Amino acid sequence: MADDGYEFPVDRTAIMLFASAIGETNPIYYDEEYAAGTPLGRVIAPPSFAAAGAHWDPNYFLRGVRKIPAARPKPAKARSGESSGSGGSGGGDLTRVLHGEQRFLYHKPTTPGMRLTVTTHPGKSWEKEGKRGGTMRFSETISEYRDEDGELVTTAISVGIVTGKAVE
Amino acid sequence: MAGNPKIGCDAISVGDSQEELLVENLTRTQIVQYAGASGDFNPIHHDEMFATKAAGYPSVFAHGMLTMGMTGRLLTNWLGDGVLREYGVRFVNQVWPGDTLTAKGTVESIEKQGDEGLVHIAIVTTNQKGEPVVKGSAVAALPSRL
Repeated sequence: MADDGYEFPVDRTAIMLFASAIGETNPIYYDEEYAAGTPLGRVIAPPSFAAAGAHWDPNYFLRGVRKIPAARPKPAKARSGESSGSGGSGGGDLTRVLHGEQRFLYHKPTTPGMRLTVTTHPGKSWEKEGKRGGTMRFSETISEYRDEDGELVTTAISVGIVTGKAVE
Repeated sequence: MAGNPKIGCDAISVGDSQEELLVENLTRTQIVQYAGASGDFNPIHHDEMFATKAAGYPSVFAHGMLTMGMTGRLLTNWLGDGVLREYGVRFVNQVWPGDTLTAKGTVESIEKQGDEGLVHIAIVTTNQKGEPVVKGSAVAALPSRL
């Protein structure tokens, strides 16, 4: 079952900050005039930008001191207490949580002004004996980012790992 | 979703490869910058005491997603903007402050579909010791010719 989701409004400043942090200089991520001269027509977000939806995820467990719950949470229905959200890895003891895998499927570009709705549901989970991290628990989380028309923009599949010990 | 391709798939062959220097001497500052931009404030990535004393790591280490983000530049600088259909990685080794990372992509197959093609790329990003830190794959949709 997917959760009720949260809103992730996309703006050019958030895209620029994210692009800067990953060392980008590509003007498609910040320069409206440049973007207007390309077939894309406007600024777009870098391929892994969906991770920044974490800022708006009310259940995100690595949120630092952020106290703001969420922008316009969807009404009624109880939320599932533990959704790891975009790029997340499942909650629990932070000393033992690792991000194992991440995959994105792109359906259309992410652009400033989009008001995305992100819903998340759990995927597979499994266990493995690791040489470097002891017994490792893997769990998959699937997040769908949809635009105002309900059309898919990005699908994010994250695999979180809880390790038995610090990875050597 | 045509995007802004930099190359047509007729100009690409299976086995072609491309490299991109992602970062030299990764700073703790950039790791903190990524925490702020992404919202991932796991202290293991910025709090040295937490990373060493509580978690038992030699120091803080970078978010896997920072390496994934930087590795994306290999694809977009090579193939174009808004042309990716899929991009996935496995985080196989940690990235530490001071690391220098280089990404390499190799064309594995090209599926022609009329006037365009889906180009399948295998990706590996390695550190200055030659150890892989992420391994992954991507699919880009490119026109036959620009």
